[in-house]
Amino acid sequence: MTTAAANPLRQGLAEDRLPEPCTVVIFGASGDLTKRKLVPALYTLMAERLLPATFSVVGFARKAVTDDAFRQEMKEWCGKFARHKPTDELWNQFQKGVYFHTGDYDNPESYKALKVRLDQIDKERGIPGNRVFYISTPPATFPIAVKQLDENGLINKSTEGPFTRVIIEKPFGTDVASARELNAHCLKHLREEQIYRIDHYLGKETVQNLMVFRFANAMFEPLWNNRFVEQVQITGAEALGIEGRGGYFDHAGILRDMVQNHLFQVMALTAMEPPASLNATDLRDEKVKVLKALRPYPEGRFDEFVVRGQYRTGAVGGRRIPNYHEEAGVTAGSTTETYVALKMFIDNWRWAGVPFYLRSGKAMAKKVTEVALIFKDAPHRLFGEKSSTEPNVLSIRIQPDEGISVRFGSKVPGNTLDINPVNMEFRYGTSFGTEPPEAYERLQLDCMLGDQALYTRADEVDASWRFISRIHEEWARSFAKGIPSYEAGTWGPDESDAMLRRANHAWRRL
Amino acid sequence: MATAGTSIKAPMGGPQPEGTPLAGYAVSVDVGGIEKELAALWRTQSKEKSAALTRACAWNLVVYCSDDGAMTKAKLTADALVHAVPTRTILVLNHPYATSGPELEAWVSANCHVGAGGGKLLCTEEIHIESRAKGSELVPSLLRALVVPDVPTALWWAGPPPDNASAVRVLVSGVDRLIVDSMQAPGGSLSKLAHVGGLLDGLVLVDLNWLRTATLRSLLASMFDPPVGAEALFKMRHMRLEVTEAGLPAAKLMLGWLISRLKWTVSERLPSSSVAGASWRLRSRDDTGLGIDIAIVTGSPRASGLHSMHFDTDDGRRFGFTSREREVVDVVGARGTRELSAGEPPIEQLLVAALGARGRDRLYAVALHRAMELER
Ligand SMILES: NC(=O)c1ccc[n+]([C@@H]2O[C@H](COP(=O)([O-])OP(=O)(O)OC[C@H]3O[C@@H](n4cnc5c(N)ncnc54)[C@H](OP(=O)(O)O)[C@@H]3O)[C@@H](O)[C@H]2O)c1
Repeated sequence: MTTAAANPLRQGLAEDRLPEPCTVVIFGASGDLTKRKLVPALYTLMAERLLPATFSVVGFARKAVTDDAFRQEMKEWCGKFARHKPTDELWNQFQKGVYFHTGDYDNPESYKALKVRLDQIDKERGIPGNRVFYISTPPATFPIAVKQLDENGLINKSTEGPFTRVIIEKPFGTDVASARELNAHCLKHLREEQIYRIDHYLGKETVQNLMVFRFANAMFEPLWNNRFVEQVQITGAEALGIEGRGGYFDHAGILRDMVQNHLFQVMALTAMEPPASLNATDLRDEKVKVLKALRPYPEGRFDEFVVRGQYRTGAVGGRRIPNYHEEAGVTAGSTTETYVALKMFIDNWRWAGVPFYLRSGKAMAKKVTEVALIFKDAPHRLFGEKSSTEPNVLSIRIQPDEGISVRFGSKVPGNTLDINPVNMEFRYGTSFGTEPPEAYERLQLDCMLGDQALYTRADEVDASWRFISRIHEEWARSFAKGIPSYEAGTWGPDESDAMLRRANHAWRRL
Repeated sequence: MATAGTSIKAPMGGPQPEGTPLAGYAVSVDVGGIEKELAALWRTQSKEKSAALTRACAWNLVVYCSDDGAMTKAKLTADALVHAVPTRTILVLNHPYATSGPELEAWVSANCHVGAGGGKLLCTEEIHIESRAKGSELVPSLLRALVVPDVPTALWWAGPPPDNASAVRVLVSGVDRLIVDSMQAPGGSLSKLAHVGGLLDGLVLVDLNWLRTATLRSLLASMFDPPVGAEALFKMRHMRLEVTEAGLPAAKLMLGWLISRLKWTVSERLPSSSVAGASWRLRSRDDTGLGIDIAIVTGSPRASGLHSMHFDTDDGRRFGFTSREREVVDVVGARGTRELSAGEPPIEQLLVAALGARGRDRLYAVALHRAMELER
């Protein structure tokens, strides 16, 4: 709900999408995400006048911290990570609404005390009871916090009166069973319209631009199907190894950490039909159709479609990377994958027969996330041997160096008819010098505005876990086979190249 | 950085400062060779930089400069614009009374800067055109030939806004936006500008002064968001604004906006009191009387000159703001007095806004139209 309708001076202003006065309560506020992303994003929103003047943030954690200490700490982190650096005067304005509340996640008394505190803040600051609870703790605490919030009268389930919305961080479950359990638990305490399952990739400007590119331009969409597209490649590569997150990563693996959520969302946006509107229901209906249309892997032919790998010693960008097994927190003999490549088919009219290749890895040659559509050859080779053998490619780079490039064949200047592939590149950075907003800015703002379009819905999460869990089950069955390794700083194990070679395809060189 | 070209002219605005090796030199060329020279500049830039150079253009920006001083300022602003909007900038300066020198002269340069975060090279093309005496008649044809095709064109009238439509019309054929700054309107009068704007059919009139005061409008609006609510606005009985001489147009635009949003009607202009300024009687939408005074003050930290604005309601409440520093205002509202940030962006940011979605602000045309009622 915006306030434009009620205030005649708001109508037509640039900031007419202003949330109603509200409080954001962050659970796990002593954590990394709060410092690096959540509070800096809120501060930037305020600096850009996108928050109501009567807005407050309450940090909740077990750690005993005073309001003042929390404010001081957040000022330092905003100085480091916010797009708008705090100025004394603006920070003073912001910090008046910043509080810290110490409590236990599973102790009802803590929630009762939190309620008293929030009611008092509402009164002092003129906030009509609207609240966003951002659960930014490790996942084991998600269900505990949701239950306690409800049982202690902090959730208004009615569509009338002040709003209560709950943002739940990733990961939403670790397999299909746990995701369903968490979902059922949340729905016991909240309505679906109150649950905001975050996938910060959806808050990235360039991911949203995928939709703009496809649906605001008439010339690409006619090519966006199996008549013209030979294959689609989606890459989410990270140059870093696991960097001290061994304890977490060794339990998760790259398939859970990157693919089930981020890359599947990118794939769904790439493959979906044009939605009727950009509202949350229409957009998510189309995405879920893609996920439901993923063809299950045929019995006994799993290895033709899935390759995993684990990095061994190597170097990335001139920096040595140890063997995965030597990283802190990794269990001896671990078969957790740090690389995965999938070949998938979307069984629908538009994409029948077009393989979607998806790869993601740690300690790869460089950091890059992109989607590439590789086109079929021209139907007739008019220029014979001298034609370029390289297919046309349209690639959308999500990070870094966000942009779009098109590869096509062009005549080499001269009196002979030689054709060479050339790249036409459009880069956001060189065209629009302004910095795009951070994903967490857009997402927190959308939640305050009650817009769920860029959050994932229960059925999307379910459909993606159904597909991913089958892979995990197969890996568990074939445990004895071991896991191929790849040298850190390369593009993954040879088996991955071989998977594409069988279809006469090859990974793009990035 | 240095560019290709037959002859290299000294860079505009003095020698190239050290440490900014990427800013462009101006190259003098004959008029017909401008495009060719621009192509050569891009080739040289690409060769000199190891980074890939991408040429992008979202707007043709024609800058009409009234004199050398305006030209120097406009060039600096246009150069700063490159960080946010890729443009082909065409700076036009006429010397109507010149008795010597060529009728028409042109220079080209590419302006490149390393973008935020480093590494990326942002470049725009700049063409300078100077005409003398009757040479000004040739300028429109040159502009038509030089604009990048399929990209919208904005004409920025740097200096006082045009006061007769025919002077503008020859320059604006094919122009999508006319950008002016009503702050520089002679005598602070908006009527001529509104008249010119009304005659230029199909073209969006963008006023930098309107964009300059956007923060104040949003600040005023925010005072009536829940839980305060808009009801106080309808109980307003008296309003007082303090402005500098230069701030009169901003004040009138602000009032034009309020008149249109709150559905007021201007009843009469009252005879001037002892204070320099002006007063009006208005009627609110429930037909109650409402008084407005504008008082002229000698100085204000705000660039727009709109120094303070306060109103009182019939139940004894007071709302408004007073500028304290350049970026800070003291706000009086339902929650007592507070200090808030409400900066006015520098000119290059105003231009970015003018070329963006905010340039097409429907509220402006209505506010300008209603502000004229105060000048009758
Ligand atoms: N960091 C990132 O870049 C990132 C990116 C994407 C998603 N996420 C997700 O966002 C959430 C928060 O990330 P984070 O990096 O801030 O997490 P974190 O530092 O590990 O944890 C945040 C806080 O949660 C509290 N907590 C509650 N229950 C806990 C438990 N059982 N064990 C340990 N701590 C517990 C701790 O505070 P007290 O002990 O003081 O209460 C801790 O400071 C996680 O679910 C993570 O998966 C993080």
